[in-house]
Amino acid sequence: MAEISSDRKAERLINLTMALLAAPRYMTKSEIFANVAGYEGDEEAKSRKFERDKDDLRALGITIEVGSNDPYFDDEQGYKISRDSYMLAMHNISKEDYSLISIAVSMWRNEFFSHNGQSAIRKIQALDFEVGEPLLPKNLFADEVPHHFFDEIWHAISERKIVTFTYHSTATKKRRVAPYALTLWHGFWYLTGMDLNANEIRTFKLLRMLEGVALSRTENEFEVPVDFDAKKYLHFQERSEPLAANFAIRKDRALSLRLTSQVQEMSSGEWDKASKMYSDIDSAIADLIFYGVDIKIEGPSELKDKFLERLRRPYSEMSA
Amino acid sequence: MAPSTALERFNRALDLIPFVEANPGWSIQELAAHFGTTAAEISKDLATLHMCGLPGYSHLELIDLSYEDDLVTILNSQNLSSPRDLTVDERVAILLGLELMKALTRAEPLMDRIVDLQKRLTNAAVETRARSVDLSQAINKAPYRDLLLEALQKKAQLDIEYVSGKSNSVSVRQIAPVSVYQIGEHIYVEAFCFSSKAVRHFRTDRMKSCSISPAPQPLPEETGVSEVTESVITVLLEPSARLFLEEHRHLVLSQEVMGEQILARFAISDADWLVKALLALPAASTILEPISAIDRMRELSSEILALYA
Repeated sequence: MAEISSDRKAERLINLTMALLAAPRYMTKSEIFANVAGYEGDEEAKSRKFERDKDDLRALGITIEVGSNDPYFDDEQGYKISRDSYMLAMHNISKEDYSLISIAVSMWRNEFFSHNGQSAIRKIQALDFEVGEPLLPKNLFADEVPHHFFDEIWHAISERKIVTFTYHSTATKKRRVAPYALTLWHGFWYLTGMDLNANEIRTFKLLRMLEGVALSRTENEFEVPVDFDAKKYLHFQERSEPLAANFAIRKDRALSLRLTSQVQEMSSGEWDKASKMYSDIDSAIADLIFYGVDIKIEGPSELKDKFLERLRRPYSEMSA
Repeated sequence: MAPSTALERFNRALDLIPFVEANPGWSIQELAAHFGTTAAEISKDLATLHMCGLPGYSHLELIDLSYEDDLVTILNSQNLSSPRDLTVDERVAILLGLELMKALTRAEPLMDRIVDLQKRLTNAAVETRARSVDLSQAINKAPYRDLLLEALQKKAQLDIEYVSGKSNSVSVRQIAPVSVYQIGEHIYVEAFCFSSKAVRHFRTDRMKSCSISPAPQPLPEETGVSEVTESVITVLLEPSARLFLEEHRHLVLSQEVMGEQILARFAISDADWLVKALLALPAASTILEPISAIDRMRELSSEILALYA
């Protein structure tokens, strides 16, 4: 039953779109009800149906113009769809553009983007482009594992809806946020927005949002401050202080480290001298430790001390 | 797959007409695959369209199409033959994809073409929405990024000299890239490797050289990951090690909160790697089992410390 009524609705929407596109002048509601198939029942039921249909078409990106045919008379308002706004306007898409667009939409693994990108591609393929190979099944630039929160957060941002979610941080807490922007950094998506409980702008990692992401019903619940800049609020920005690590590197060893370091070869002995830039102490330690006994940290002392301190920690229950 | 809603059907039906007009002779199956749905749904779309038309609704005003012998042909599309304009979300998806490509290229002509295309795709609504996504630091400036983009774009293969971090050796490999991604500070290329005859992940900063392969090889039908023996290592971690767990979540079999700490089980082919990574973590961690991993950790830290003694 539900399926039948949804098929009839799809039919009515197509008929309405075709009629409004074909209309040489604005069609009034009564003209629509008299001529477009699918509007039945009493006046009120028809009107309600039509209002909903109009909203649906607009939500799908179709512009419905409202106006009256004779500006000098207080005519009943009418509706039409202009061909110019309906049609894909990029006549000048070259073969090269098409190939760039095809690659661009396959950059995303994220479902929201790849879904929209592929529907764009199908529209463009209906211009004059030969459909070559099938759309790439695999995304080229793999951002975070697909998960449904991206979609919801994206809608919340676009429609300016308040979003609530349970967030796993030092404590698991419920948050209410006016979402401003999404940032992709180091392979993870972050949401920046006004935390309505804390009353300050904060950043949340999407991966740490737990089940129960919900959006407010009404749109336009907030304004994004004009001077808002997501970069200012990303905590990871402030933290990193680049440092140059100096170390000795055993001859003919640690080849992959040599590749990314400045190496000064020594004519004698077992060791060469090297240095490498890191974004902070922790990433220096994380990288250098892999070369085990093939490197020896010389400085700065802050790095060396921290490195040794970590190696001296108890490393099992038995030694603790 | 759940049956399509009225709006999904409407959307797809309106896109089907110009698509089929431009690409006649596709079967329902092929269309279903291309539109990401089932053959049954496409048949319903076509049946729905068959009922629609312009006011009057005589056979002259109705949409006319046939799908006999499974081949779909539009005989009269009435006024629906032009593809619809791209929606804001569709434009944003393309724009942001182009933005990532810009991060991967240094070639000026390509950069100019991308910027020009972005301009033509943008309008006020698109710009507002695209501004809410910040990709300025989405991808680090990877070595050989132009070649990677070119290989992905043209499905070309690369010849690389790869320096293994593990075995202290350099190998020459021919690879067919499938995707590029970033974890933490490093850019990785996922590729089929003809030397190991399996899909492998390569760090771009460990490529000693890289060039487009003049002699591409045919890809095998099955490009599965070759089997490796994995052992399970159980570790107790401080909550501040969460980022580490997130970055390596493909290795994490399970994790649970134990009081203040996190108990994680890693499935790993290279135990040495995990032992070193744990030693480097700012937060203290405790290997619970196996004993061999605990021994390795003890051995390794005392070997390194001996250098500084």
